[in-house]
Amino acid sequence: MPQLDDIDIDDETLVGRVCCGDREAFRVLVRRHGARYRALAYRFVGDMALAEDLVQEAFVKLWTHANRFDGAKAKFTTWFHRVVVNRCLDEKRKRRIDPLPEGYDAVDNRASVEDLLGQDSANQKLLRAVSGLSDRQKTAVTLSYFDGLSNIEAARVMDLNIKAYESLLVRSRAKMRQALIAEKEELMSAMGTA
Amino acid sequence: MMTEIEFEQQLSLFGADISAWPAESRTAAEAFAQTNQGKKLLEAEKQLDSLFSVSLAMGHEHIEDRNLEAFLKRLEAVPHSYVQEKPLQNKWFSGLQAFLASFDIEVSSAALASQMAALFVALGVGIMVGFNSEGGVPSGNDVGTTEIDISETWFSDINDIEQDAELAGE
Repeated sequence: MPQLDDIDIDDETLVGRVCCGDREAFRVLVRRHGARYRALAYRFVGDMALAEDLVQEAFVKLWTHANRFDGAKAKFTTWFHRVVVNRCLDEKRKRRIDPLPEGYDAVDNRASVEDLLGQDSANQKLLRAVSGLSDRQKTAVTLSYFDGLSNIEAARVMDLNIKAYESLLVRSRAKMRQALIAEKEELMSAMGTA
Repeated sequence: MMTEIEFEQQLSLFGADISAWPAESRTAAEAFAQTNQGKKLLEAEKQLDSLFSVSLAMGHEHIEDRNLEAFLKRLEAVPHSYVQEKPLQNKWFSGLQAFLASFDIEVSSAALASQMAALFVALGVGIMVGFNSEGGVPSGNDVGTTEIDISETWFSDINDIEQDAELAGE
């Protein structure tokens, strides 16, 4: 009997089978999308162990509530992106309001010259620029530039019309440009005073 | 002369290559690009393009490949540890659906469930209204004599009663 992997079955059909308790269909969805959503969650929370836990929660939801997915309304990946992104944003908000431990002293967040020179990889530079964005801006940038979704797909994930999404992306890009300019000036200034 | 805000908007829309911008704004944009701020913005835009292309080229599979296989195995094990939510359906529901189908009426489980819920709500409201209403039908032994007075029509005259008594031999 051929494995489901060998057959070109679309995601929506597989979710339909998952509804009926088909574990093999679930396994194929995990193999197809597990790595992608792990990377997506990591982009949001910056902690691999936490990202894996959040994606696992999303897959648990897929298994236990597969009957709530309506293939006529959305593609599986659009729906699942939304599940993962919302879970990540919830987690970020939760962590933001966690009280600081007693006796906590705020650290100096300004990067030293050594830090700036040491973290010179393209990805780290990009992550620093992204970190200054709002949650909505960061979501748009992550979906379009890191996850490679088209603007239309990303707009659907964020439940926005295409115009609103493109405008959000333009504002995000402008903010990132300003962050890169500021970082360069900070580096120049630090080198000048060193 | 183009303002910084206008330059930034065009930059976001059309990218760092000013020759690809709309012809009517190109001259003003090139003039602004010669300013200190213009140079900074153009350089930052080129840097962003390059950073994003590097990141996309690397792809998601390069994010900490270590432990990826273990993670996927963990996900594959989800069905062994969690129970699936079953759709709202029982024998009674199926029977009703089959009955309706015999009249060529196809109703989904969700539609049927919502119809039944609406029916029960309407019934409940009707019963509550019935319990709380006043007048109309009297309840219990509380019968008003003004509403049901049969004496005037049945025994219109006292002589009728006396005659009836005589006939009965009282």
